[in-house]
Amino acid sequence: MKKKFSADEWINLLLDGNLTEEQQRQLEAWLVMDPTVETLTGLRQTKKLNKLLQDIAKQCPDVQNPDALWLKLKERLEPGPPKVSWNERFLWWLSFDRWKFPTIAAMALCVAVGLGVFWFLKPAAPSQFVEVDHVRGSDPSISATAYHSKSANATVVWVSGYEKGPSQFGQIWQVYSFRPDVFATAYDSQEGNATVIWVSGLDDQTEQPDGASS
Amino acid sequence: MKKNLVKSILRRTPVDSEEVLEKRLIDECKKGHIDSYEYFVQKNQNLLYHLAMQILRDEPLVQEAVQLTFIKGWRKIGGFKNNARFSTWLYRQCVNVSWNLWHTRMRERGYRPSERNGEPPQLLLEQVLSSESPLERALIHQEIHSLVLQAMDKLPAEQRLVLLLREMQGLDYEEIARTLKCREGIVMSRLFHARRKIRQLLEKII
Repeated sequence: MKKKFSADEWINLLLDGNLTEEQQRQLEAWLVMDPTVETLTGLRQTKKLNKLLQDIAKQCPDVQNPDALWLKLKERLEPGPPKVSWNERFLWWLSFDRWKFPTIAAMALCVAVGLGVFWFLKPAAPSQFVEVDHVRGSDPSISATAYHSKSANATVVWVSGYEKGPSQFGQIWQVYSFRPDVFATAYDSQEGNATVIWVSGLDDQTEQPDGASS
Repeated sequence: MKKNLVKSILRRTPVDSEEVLEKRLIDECKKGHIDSYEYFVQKNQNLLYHLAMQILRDEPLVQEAVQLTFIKGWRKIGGFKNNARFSTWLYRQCVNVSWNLWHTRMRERGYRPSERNGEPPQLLLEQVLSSESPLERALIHQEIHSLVLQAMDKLPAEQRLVLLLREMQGLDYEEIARTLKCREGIVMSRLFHARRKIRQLLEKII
């Protein structure tokens, strides 16, 4: 964001050499057109004066006897450890410097605790389907589980490990996973009011529909 | 004395910078070792002397300002935090101490350190350049400097201090604002008016 300067601030920036050549040229051109704030002659005179002040500063002498000051001072300094006033101690106690690390640590802890609480208290998705039956075939890799949802008035039969779909059911959709050998097919029977989800190629037999509970 | 002090500290723990040395010396001072404070006095006395001289321009007052600054520094060193340079802190204290002394004296006696009797001579800066004699040139220079300082004293107090810190001490706007605990905009405004006014006061000689 560019800072906006007033006319007198621009003049200061020019006199203190804080402008680029282009800015300087533009400002001088503007002063020629509108010399109410400053004139070019005035600028030149001020530059001369600044130079004079700098020359005066350079002529300032050094301390004539450097060791004498220390000797005088030593007599005036109070012996013993300098006291820290209650005010200073209290201000330091309240200062940001003292508290910056504890504050950052406390804030980080609060964020961590907040995230943890949010994670654990996050309301679980409403369980729509309830497991009502589970059947295992003669081949232990083949199993079927039935889930029923009262609200949806639907029954889902989750069949795992069987190669063929049911012939009297119509296929309604098929979903492929990121593994080409694993896919699920849904079959629906309007007469039987049931949906069968046929899962192929899944090793883990314990998979259940989202939100299902026994 | 200063060298021995530094050596003694170097012998105890190797230090690789002035900053580390100063932190160790400050810790020594906090324990009440006055001799450790000498390092800061020797190191900063010229800097503070120049500053006080430019503000007060009166030798006894300048001596007092420098001493008061160091005494204040010693008193406050117990609560000094090592995250700021002690020299910077002393410098700011010296501005305040000198400024307070200046105001006190002004109130007490209408004090004007560089005020002289009689009308100031009307000199032209160009005379310095046209003068062939080095002695004459030096005298004219001296006279001009004296007139400039007189004009400085006629400025409002805050404007004078800002101009002095900018041109004679070479501080930038941000440093001046921090030293005087005010906004940069205020510094720039005071500087602009100070420059304009001193130029008007010295129009005849420049």
